[in-house]
Amino acid sequence: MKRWLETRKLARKGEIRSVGKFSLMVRRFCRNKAAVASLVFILLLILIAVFADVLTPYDYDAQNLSEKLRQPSAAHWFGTDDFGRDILTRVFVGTRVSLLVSILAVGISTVFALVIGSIAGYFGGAVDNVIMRITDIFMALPGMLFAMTVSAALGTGIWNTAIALGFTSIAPIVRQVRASILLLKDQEFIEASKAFGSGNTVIIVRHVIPNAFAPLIVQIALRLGDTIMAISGLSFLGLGVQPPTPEWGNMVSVGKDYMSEFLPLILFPGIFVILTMLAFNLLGDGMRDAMDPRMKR
Amino acid sequence: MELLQIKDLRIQFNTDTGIVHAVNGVDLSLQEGECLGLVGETGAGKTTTALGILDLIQTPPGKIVSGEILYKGRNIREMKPHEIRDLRGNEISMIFQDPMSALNPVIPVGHQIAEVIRLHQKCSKNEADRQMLAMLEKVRIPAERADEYPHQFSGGMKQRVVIAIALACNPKLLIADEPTTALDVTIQAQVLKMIRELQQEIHTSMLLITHDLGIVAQTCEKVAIMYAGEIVESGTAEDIFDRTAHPYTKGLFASIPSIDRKMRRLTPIEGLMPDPTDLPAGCSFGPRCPYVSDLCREHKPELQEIGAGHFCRCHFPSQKRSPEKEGQ
Amino acid sequence: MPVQLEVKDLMKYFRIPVGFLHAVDGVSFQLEEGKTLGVVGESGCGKSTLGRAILGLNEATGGQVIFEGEDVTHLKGASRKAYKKKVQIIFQDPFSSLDARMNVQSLIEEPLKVLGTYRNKTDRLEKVDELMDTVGLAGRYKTSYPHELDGGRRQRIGIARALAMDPRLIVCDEPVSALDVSIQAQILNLLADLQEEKGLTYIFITHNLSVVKHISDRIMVMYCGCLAEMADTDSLFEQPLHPYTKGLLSAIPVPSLHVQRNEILLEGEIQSPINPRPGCRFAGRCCYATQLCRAETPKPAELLPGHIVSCHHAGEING
Repeated sequence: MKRWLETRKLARKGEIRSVGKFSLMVRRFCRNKAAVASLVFILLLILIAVFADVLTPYDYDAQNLSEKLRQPSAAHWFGTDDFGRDILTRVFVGTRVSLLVSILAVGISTVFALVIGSIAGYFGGAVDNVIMRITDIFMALPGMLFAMTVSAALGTGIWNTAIALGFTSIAPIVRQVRASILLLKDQEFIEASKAFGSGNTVIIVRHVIPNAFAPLIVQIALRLGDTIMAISGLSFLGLGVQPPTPEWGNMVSVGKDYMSEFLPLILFPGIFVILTMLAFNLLGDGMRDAMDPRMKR
Repeated sequence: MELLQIKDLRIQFNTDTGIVHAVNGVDLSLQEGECLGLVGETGAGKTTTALGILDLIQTPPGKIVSGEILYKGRNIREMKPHEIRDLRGNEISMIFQDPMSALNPVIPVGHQIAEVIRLHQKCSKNEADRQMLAMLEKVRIPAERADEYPHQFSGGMKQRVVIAIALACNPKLLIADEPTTALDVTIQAQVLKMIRELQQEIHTSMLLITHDLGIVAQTCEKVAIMYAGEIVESGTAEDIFDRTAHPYTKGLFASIPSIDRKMRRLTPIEGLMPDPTDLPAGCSFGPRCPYVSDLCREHKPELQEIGAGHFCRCHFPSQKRSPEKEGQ
Repeated sequence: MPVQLEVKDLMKYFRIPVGFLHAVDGVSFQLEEGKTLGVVGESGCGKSTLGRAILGLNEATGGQVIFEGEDVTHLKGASRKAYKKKVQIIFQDPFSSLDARMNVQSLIEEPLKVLGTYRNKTDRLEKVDELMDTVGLAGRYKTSYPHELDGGRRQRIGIARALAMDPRLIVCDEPVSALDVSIQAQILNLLADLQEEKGLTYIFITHNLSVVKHISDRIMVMYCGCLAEMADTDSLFEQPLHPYTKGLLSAIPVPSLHVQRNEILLEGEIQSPINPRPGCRFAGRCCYATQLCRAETPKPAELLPGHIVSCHHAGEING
C-alpha cells in the first residue's frame, strides 16, 4: 500500500505540455490565406446585412425616375436602376435577404437531416433501408427542378423560398450524417458508454450527434454557398423573392433586360452572388483542411 | 569493414507546437554481415533515424539539420537524387511494420516482386519471373500462389512477401522497422527465424528496429538503446544484456514482466519521456533517473566508452553496476 | 473463495454472408472472487468476443453466464442495468474508447451520471476527485482532453471510469498492449494494487504471455474460438500439456541471452473460424495430429488436478 502511494506520487510528477485542439485548428486555418480572406468577406457581408439601412443615405425603394439608369458616380457609387433607385442600397439590402434565406434554408435542412440521418445510421436495419431508399429518390431529382416545384406549390416569399430550398438539400446532408454516424457507432467509446448501461437516447445525444457535428459544419458552409446561388436562381426565374424586395437574383433578372446598354444593374449584384458563393466554398475548404488531422504538421 | 556509419545525425520537424527534436546526434556503425538492434520506446526517434538513412524524411516539415551518413564511405547526404534512388532497393532496402499497407492490393504478389527485380536489375521479364519464383521459395510461399492477390494472404504470408520484395535484389543493408509487431507470436517466431536465415544466407547487414528486447536477444549481435533521440547505450548483445550500464536500459529490463521468475510488483520507470519540443537542459533521462545529480541536470553527458566497444551516455559509470539489477 | 462467475458452454456465432463465424465455440470455466483469469490467444481466437459476451455487450448465441448465482445471459431492462454496474470493462485503446470531445472530468463523471446514485453535481465531482486520486491522476488534469495526455494517463482515465460503478468484476481487454513497457509496468502495478485493495475479480485478456503470467492466478489458452488448455499459472508454464500451448510458450521472445528453450516452431497459420468442420481446430498445425483429430472435436478433460486440456492425445504426448 505504501509503495502504491509512492507510485502514484511519482506518476503525478511528469508534466506534459498541452496545446488545445481548437487553438491548433485556428492556427492551421489562419495559414490558409484564401480561407481567411473569405471569412473576412463573409463577416463584412453580415455587417452589411445588419446595417444595410444606415450605410447609405437612400431608401432601397425610393424611386426617382428623373435619375434612372445613371452610371456610377460620387452620389451613387454603383449607379441607379430602371426606377432611379440606388443600386448600392439595393445590393446591401439584398445581402440581408440572401443571407437570411440561405441560413434559414440550411438550418431547416440540417435539423431535419440530423434527426433522420442519426436514426438511420444508429439503428440501421430496416429503418435505415426505408430512409435511405427515400433519400435515393430525392437525390435522383435535379435539385433546382425540385425547388422550383416546391416553390410553385407553396408560393413565393422569404419563408417559402427558404422551405423550398431547405427541403431540396435534406437528402445529401442525411447521407453525410448517416455516414459519419456509421463510422462513430462502432467506436469503442460508444461501446464503453453501453458498458455503463447508458440508453440509446443518451448515447445519441451525448456522444453521436456532437461528434458527427464537426464534419457537418464544413458541409453547412459549402451548402450555404450553393443555397445563395440557388436563391438567386429562383428569384431570377421569378419563383423566389418578389420585387420590390431587392434580392440579388431578381436584380440580375431585371438587369439582363438592360444588359446591352446599361451594365451596372446586372454587374454589381452578379459580382456579389459570385463572390459570396466563392467565399463560402473557400471557407468550407479551409475549415475542412483545418479540422483534418492528416493535414497536421 | 564498416558498411554504414552515422555520425552526429540530427533531424528536426517544424510543427504547430514548436520544433520537434526527433533525432539529436545519433552515432551508429554497422559492419558487413552484422545485425544491429535499435531499441527504444514510442517517440524515441528510431524510425526517423531509419528514414534519415534512406533520405526519406518528408521535407518540410522534417529536416536533417546536421551529421553524416556514410554508406561504404560515401556520404548519402551529398549524393545526387538519382544516386540515392539507385541505392534504395538495390543496395539498401526497408521492411515496414504494417504488411497490409505495404502491398498494392490490385496487383498479384508475384508481379510485385518481379517488378522490383526488373526495376533494379534491368533484366528480361522471363529472368525476373525466374528470380521471383526462387525468392518465393526462399520465403516458403508455394510458387503456385504467385498469381494471387494480397487480400488472399494472411498477415504472416503478406509480411513474407514484403520480405521477399526487400531481399529480391540481394541488398547489402536491410532496414527492418518493427517487422513482426503486427504479427501473432507464433507467426512472429516463424518470420524472425526466416529473416535470420536469409540474412545469413545472402550475407546482408541488418538494422532491426524494435521495442522488444526479447526479439533483440534472439536476433542481434549488436544493440543500441535509443532514448529521446539519442543513443544512450550501445555495444554487443552481451554488453547490453549482461553488463547493462545505463539507468534507462536497466529500467527497461526491470519493467518487463519476467517469464521465469514470479514477482508481485514490477519496477516501472517513473515519469514520461520528455516532450521532444522542449528537451531538458542536461541529461535527457535526468528527470526520470533514480541516480540523478546536479551535474546531470546541468551538463549533458557524452557517449563514452566504458568497455571495449561498449558505449554509455551517463555521468556516473560507477553507479552502473548496482546490485538490485542482478537481484531483481 | 466462493465462485463468482461461471460460464457454461458459451457460444457466440456471428452471421456473415457465407455462413457463421464461430467466434466462441463452447467455452466453460469458473472464476473465484478476487482472482484473475488470464485469457491468452492469438488475434481472432475469440478472446475479446468471450469478454464482451460475459459483459452482455454481445448477446451469447448459446450457453450460460452465471454471475453470483444468477443467470445473466439474456437479461433485459432493469436487471440488465443492475448487472452492468457489477461488471465493467477496460479497453485496449485508451484513445478510441474515450470521447475526444470530453475533458477528463466529464469523462469520469459520465458513468456516475448513468449510475444515478449521486443526485447533485457536487457529490459527483467529489467522487470524480476521489477516483482520479485512486488511479493516480493529478487533479490538474481535470480540464485536459484525452489527446493532450499520454497513453498511460489515458488508460488511467479508462480505469477510473470502470471503477466509478464500483464493480465486482472487470474484464481487462488488452489494457496494456498499446503502451510502452515502462508505462505498461505502471499500469500493471496499479491494476494489482486495486485488486488487492478492493477485492476485484479480473478477466485479463491479452496476447502477451509475459504479462498474463505476471498478473494471472489461472490461465485459459484459446485457439480458434475453443478452449485449448486451462490451468493455474505455474502449472501451465511448467507443464504445458496441449501442443499449441507448448508452441506458444516456446515462441515467446525472452529478453535474455542465457535462456535456452527447446524451440517448437509452429508451422502454418490459424484456421479460419468460418463454418468450421468437425475435428480439432489445431490439427492442421499439430505434429501429433491423427485421423481421430481430424474427425472428432476433442472435449476438454481434466488430465491433472485443475489442469484442463482439449486434446485427444494429451495423455500419450506427455507420457
